Amino acid sequence: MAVRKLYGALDCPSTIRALASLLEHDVEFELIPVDLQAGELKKMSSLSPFGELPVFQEGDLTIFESRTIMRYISHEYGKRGEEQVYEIPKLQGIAAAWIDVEDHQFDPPASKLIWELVFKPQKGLPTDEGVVEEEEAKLVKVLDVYEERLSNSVFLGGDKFTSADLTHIPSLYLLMKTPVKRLFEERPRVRAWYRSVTSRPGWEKMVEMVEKVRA
Amino acid sequence: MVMKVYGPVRAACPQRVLACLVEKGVEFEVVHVDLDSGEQKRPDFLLRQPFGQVPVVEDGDFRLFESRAIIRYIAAKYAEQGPDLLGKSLEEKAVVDQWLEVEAHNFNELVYTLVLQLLILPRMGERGDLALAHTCEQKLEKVFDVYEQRLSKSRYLAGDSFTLADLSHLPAIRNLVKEAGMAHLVTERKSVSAWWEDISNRAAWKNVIELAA
Repeated sequence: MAVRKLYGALDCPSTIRALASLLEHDVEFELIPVDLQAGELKKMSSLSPFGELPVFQEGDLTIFESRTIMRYISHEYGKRGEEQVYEIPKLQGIAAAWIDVEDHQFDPPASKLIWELVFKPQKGLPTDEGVVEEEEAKLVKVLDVYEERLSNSVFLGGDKFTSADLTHIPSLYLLMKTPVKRLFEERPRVRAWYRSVTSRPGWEKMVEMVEKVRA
Repeated sequence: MVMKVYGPVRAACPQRVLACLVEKGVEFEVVHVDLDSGEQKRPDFLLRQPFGQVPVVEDGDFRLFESRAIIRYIAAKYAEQGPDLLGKSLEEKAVVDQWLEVEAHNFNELVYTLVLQLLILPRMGERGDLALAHTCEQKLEKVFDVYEQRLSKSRYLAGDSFTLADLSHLPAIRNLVKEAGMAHLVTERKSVSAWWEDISNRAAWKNVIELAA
């Protein structure tokens, strides 16, 4: 029996976040796919009281919310010399703030764009170009702040790759296959940043896992 | 040097930070920001917080925004004084984190929208969307049902002790109960009621309410 289990759906951004964190830290786990189409989520209500994925189990610990799982993995399984957290409260404070920036500023327009440009076409629904334009305008404002931030900081959370960067992986993975990619390409520091994030070994492993399911 | 908290004392997100500072016995100074006149969107404020939002804290040269990141920082920096708001083991910390995320994702948006429609827009002389407020209320009923289940098994959201997970809810629930006429969401649920009675009567929170009066 696996020590660690991740219940999730590989086409869900939040599952991809938890997955990326586990893969980045070389943590062994068993992925238990939950088939949303077949209504399997309902069976999970004892694990996930709000009916959401992913859920992570390790021994007696069961936690939900992908950013919680990511935080836990990063604190528990830091690789020596490559920890994705800081020990010093001030430095970790800043990294934690940029995790919340992704959550509160970046994710709202990003997830609407993912819905319009990735999920709706998959379901045979028409894209609302008006929404795309509106949400791109919001994302541009956020990316302008990122461009400024990255002129003072190598990565979003500080001088090293942390969860503040990793937390963007699901959106980067899904948006880079759409015209929204140009907004990242047009900003030199943002471009350098996302290329750095997407060339990490953890990224490669995540893409391999996600695309194997699709094949 | 005393920590500065930028933001109006009456706003929910600054109150989250003030509650944490008072719990931990940390001295601070509030620097008022006039949201009604859009002070937070002016260039000099944007230098402090590039998204034009409150609160921001300044601890000497160190500046931080995002209220939940700030309370994590305060709880970690002052771990040795005041109540332990973080949890001891990594597992305990993870459960605190989990309920902080729940507050941010499942709870906050609904309360914010409801308060906007029922209180803030009318105060600004505009019509609130009552149907939207009602939808939020119905969704909040379901969220509070989950909280009821959790709190029937656990004295506080993350376990046996009061932590950031409980603290983070104080401003929003106070708005629901005292301002938005939504007290029934709490009073109709036995465990949620008991929990609210407990956390809202903490000396630190009462202190914050006095500051905001």
